[in-house]
Amino acid sequence: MMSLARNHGLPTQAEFQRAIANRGDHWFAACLRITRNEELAADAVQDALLSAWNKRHQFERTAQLETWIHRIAINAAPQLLRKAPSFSHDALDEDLPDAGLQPDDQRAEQELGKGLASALRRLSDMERSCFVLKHLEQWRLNEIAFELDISVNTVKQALFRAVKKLRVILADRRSSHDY
Amino acid sequence: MITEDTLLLYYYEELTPGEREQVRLALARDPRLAAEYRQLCDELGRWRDVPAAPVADHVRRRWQDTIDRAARSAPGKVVARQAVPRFWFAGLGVAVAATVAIGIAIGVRLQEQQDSELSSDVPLAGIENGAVAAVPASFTRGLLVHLEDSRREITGLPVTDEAGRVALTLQLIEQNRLFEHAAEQSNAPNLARVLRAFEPILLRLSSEDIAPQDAEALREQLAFELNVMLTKLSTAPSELAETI
Repeated sequence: MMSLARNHGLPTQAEFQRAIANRGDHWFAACLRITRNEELAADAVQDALLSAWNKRHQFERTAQLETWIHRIAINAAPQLLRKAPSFSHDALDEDLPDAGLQPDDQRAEQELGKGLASALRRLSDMERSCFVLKHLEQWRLNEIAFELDISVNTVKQALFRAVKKLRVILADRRSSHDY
Repeated sequence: MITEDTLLLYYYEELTPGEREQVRLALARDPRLAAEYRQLCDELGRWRDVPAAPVADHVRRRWQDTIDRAARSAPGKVVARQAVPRFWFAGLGVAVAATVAIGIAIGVRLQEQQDSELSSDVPLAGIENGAVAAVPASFTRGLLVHLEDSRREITGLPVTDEAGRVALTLQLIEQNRLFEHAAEQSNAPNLARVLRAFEPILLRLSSEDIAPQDAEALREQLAFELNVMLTKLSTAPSELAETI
């Protein structure tokens, strides 16, 4: 049984463990939406946990520990994605082919629902990151720009293109299912 | 002219107050634009609800170990776990078990220590090159975290403390089984078999009649294997994962 005792207001080891038990699935799912890669998503959560622990003196008790870690994990995911060899800042105009489901994609489909997950696979990394951070994580545009180290205008353009593509792709899917 | 892009920024509340007012007025006087906006809202709204699927147990365990390790190593740490009485290094066992089991397995697999005391006890003859090529990189990266933290800790292992040694060994066995299971889940049956073969050694180490010098020799061997494994992982983790 873990104690919930606190020391100088800092979140405790037990509270971190409880947060992992309660919200680990959600952190992972959120990171997976960005990375589309289970390994990167798991690494992002791990990095976030370590970062949160090391910075726990910055945690304000008015906030939820789970939410705070979630935010840090979402910060970490694009950073790891940017380091991945496949990520490209210049891929805004690139229509990616639907190359078939890989294991990670299958997991992503479970997370996002078949239609949206499939559509997200057609976006570039940049478009997907901007869309997920804006639409699902509800970040501000300037926050996304800061985190991805790009301009706000670039974020906007990526978001515009992502939504346009998703609407077209999902409309096509609906049409094909109607017949 | 209110464009689709402007409507999107309106939806996300990313317009200035003046721009928002312009869009609001346009929506009020233009039914076609209002219908377009309603459709946009409807579509975007359907993309909100995303259920979360459970994360794999071995991944969650890795996260938990990360916090446990950080709590042990941080100066001025805040450790509030009130568990049943445990030896001071019980948590260490979690790390060491994973590290040692995989480290030895891979070290042996690389056939760089074929004459070592440990590897000679593990029946590895049936392991073929490239037979475990499907081990995910995340599995290897998780091990690297364990290795880096454990290398320092293992040197202080109190092998002369019989009760402590037994407790630690039981931890090692528990963790060995955990990683054995993880290897199976990672489509690495041969690695799982190596880990399984390692268990008899741990059981021997857990016996109460082992001489302190033998225990010390074993500890040194483990430390050596740990260093080998760390070096391999640090230089080419992905390649190593593919050559297990």
